[in-house]
Amino acid sequence: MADVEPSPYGDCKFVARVEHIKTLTQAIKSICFNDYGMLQVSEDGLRITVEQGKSIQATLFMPPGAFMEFSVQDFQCFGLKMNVLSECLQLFGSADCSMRMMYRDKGDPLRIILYPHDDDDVSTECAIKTMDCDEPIDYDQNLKDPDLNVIFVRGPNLSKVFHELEKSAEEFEFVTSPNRPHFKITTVGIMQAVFSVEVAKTSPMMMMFNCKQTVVARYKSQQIRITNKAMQSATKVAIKTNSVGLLELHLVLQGDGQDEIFIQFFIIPLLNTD
Amino acid sequence: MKYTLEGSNARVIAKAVQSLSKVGKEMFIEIDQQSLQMRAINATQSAVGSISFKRSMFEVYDMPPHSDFYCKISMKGCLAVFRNMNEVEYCELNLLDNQTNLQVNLRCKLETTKEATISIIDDQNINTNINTDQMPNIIRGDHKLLTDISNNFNSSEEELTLEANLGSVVAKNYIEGARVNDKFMRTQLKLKPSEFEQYQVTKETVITFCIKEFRAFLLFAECLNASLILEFDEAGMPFLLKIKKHGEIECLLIMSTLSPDDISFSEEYCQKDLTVQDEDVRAAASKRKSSAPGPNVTNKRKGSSSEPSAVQPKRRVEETQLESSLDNPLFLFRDSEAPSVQQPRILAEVDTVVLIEDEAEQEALMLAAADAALEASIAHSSGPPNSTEVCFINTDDSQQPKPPESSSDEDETIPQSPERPNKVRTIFSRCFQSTYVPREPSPNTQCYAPNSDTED
Amino acid sequence: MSTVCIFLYYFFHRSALINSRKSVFFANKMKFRALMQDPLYMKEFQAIVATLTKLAKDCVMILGSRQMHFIVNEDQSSSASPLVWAGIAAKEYFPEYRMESAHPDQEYIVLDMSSANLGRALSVLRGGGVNSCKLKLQRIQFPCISVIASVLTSSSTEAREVVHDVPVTIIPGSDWSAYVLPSVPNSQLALGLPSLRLLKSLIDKLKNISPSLEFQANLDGELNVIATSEMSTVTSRFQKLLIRTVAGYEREASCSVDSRKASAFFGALQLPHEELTIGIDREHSIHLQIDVRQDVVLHSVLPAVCI
Repeated sequence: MADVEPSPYGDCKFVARVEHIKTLTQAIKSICFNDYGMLQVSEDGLRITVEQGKSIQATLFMPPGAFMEFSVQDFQCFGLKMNVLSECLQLFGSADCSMRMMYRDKGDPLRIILYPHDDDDVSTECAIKTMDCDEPIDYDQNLKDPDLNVIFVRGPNLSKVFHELEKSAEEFEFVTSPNRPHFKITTVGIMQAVFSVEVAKTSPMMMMFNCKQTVVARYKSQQIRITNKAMQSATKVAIKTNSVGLLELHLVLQGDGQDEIFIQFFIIPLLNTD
Repeated sequence: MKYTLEGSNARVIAKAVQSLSKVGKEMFIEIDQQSLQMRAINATQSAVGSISFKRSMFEVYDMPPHSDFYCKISMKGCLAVFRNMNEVEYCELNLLDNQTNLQVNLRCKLETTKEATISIIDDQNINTNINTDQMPNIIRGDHKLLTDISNNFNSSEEELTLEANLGSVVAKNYIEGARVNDKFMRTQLKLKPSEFEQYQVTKETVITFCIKEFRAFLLFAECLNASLILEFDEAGMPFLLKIKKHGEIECLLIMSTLSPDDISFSEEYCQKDLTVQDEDVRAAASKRKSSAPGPNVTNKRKGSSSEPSAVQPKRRVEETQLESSLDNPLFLFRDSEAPSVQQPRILAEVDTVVLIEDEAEQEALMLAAADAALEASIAHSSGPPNSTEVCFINTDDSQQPKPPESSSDEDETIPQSPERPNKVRTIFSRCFQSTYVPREPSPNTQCYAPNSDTED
Repeated sequence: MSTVCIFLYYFFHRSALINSRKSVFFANKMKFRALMQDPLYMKEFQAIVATLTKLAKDCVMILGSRQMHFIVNEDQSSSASPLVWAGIAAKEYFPEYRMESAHPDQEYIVLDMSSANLGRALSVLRGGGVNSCKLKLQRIQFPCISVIASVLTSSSTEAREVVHDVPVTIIPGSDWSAYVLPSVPNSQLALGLPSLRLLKSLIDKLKNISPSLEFQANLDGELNVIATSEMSTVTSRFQKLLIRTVAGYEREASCSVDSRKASAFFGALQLPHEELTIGIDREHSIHLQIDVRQDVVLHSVLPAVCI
């Protein structure tokens, strides 16, 4: 399809088009763990950030190349309800749709129009109210040190490992280390049993293993499980931790456009009580 | 002590765990020179299932000679270890820390290792003293056929009744002639002997047993792609379900069946008595009538008759000793005792509301006499178990001198855990009702009721 | 002890009275018997009943001499279940169909039953391999519709008989006024929707957005479904629809209905049929109709709500 100029949409400050919404829908669904989301658009691309308390943050990032069409004036930023956005994208269930997204100016709604591919006579238009934008917390600064533990893992394999973690556990203890066990997750808080899973650094699921120090940190199991949905559609995952255990999971999703889509999770470790 | 299995064998063990988890909340493991056995007993102690794996299934079977080992672990933990088995290539079982922990090490694809440490709750075992050799009736059928049969019944169904005759077998969710709730849908399936691989019925009989445990083992038979062998005698005698595969895996599920003593066939009063009890089932099931609970009634009941008060404390003691005593049979399927203990509690709810009617008195006297007779028979039969009863014997190695503990500690017996009696009531509720109404028409006779529409 | 027994007796006595009252309604000459043999028709019949099963706990079966009707009433306890009824011409499904009412004056047998039980009893028809299926009204302790299916299995050359006895309550003629078949509303405009698939998932999602849905239809063959909430407005458009009925002179008609009721109807549909007629009676109701066959029709009426 030929690129359409933004002019048919009038004076919109932001216009984007996606040919297949499946990946975008999945990505948005997987970060809907809190109702309020922050949407930021610039020439770099589209960013949607969701936070819960000050302990977990997820950011969906789509570069302009992930869209069929992408045009933006200046820097646009607004807040919206994540579940409303997610429900709008899922209105036609599993039927594949193309989508246009438009935003005129501050205070105006975000318009999303869905066109199911298998029926030209059907369409639906959603106008989602926008709110003032907050500033997301910047965790990235803490993960700039050169002595981070960094592991790249194949997404589907890691997704399975995470998914099979015993769900009744309250906490998970992560170990990343240059020595054995290289990467190990242990359950904490189950009566009469302890479960653990360990992946060797030579495992074929490891794409890169670069750990300089042994880091042991505990996380709320509920927060680790928040990442499961996103992990299911990830092709590659980067696991990064600094010496205090701040955890970054950087997920790469294959988008429907040319470019990849990214979801970045930051999870704060629990205080070491023992 | 260490035992290792190759991945596909470990998956079979995982399936066995899943099936047993549908039977009981605790897993009993016994390891001897020949085999590893896993057992579970259901909450009402009316069914015990065991699955044994021969030594040949293991690659390493490190068992010191002339020794055996048994333990009890929580089913939940066990289930969690054996949940995702597709990737498992090698499985290692270790007994650690002076046999207080069971460690399961699963080596999976992609150099991933899963490890679980499950604490051993107790060194306890369960045994049965039932003769499992020869039964007059043996039916062997493919798991597909039996799954097909079981699928015709609702998953909420509690019991299955089999009418085994020389020329046919009928599977039903009710007992012929018994009065049921008027919202209850009856289901029956007629099968020909030709559908089975082996059909040997020498003693025509009608037996009723729990369907839940039956289904649990059906699931395992499906995984083994094996046939099931059903062996049984008459009503009240144990029902056996056996599965065998390559001489390496043997399963045995022993279930108690509804005793014929509980279905009174003969006396006149029965029908009335039964209708009333049927009403109780309804009341208990819907709990609509639970508006007026009367503690005074319980007192009255205890005061008015001496027999039940003698029965009840005895039951309590039995309950507290269940897990600890060596000689006490864990389970006697002698539920003729149950109605006389249980009924009044339900009836109590009605008591405060209902007035006495004159015309009822004569009938009541008959009932009273019948009840007295029933209680007398209970008292009479409360001797040591004889051979016709199903007994699951609990062997406990830990410590012998426990009985004094439980008998002296009266405080512990008073707030008895309500769980078990409740379960007995719900799961076996229909078993405990003597609801046989001999004069009811059979469903096969087509009779249309007399016409008496109000409009006419 | 004896007092307890007296109460026992009293209780029995009461229940016996109830029972005898029930049997009073059970008629001597009241007879019903129907037989199905075609697997396709059996599946369709099963699908209709399965749809009703999903909608409500109980259903009413009205047996006429040539017609069979099912009604599922609006559930008073939850507003989610809509009024749905199905009319089946007996000759379409049943090569053998015999109904004799209690009295020559009466045209019907009216039965009330648990739709879940009937659904379960008929579920055996869903898979193939059923030779025949008989429905029979009979009394076994209490009145029942016995569903007798003769099932062919892989394990045997002979058919296996599976019997389910669905308990029913016979509604006496004096109470029939409460069980009258609903009438189809007069729609000003009715459109034919060729495919249900997108609408079905759309309505299911829209119920989460708004408690009411506005249906707008116009003479251009366009149907708009509008859901409005505090945070969003969703407008869905279906174009190039067939115009089935036009009454009156106005170019368009609209009506707002309870979105949970609409969703319950679409969510319950078990029929493979895709076509739906949607009629709008301005400010009164929406009529949904699925023509399974010429003489087998499923209806639902969604009453208008105030916004």
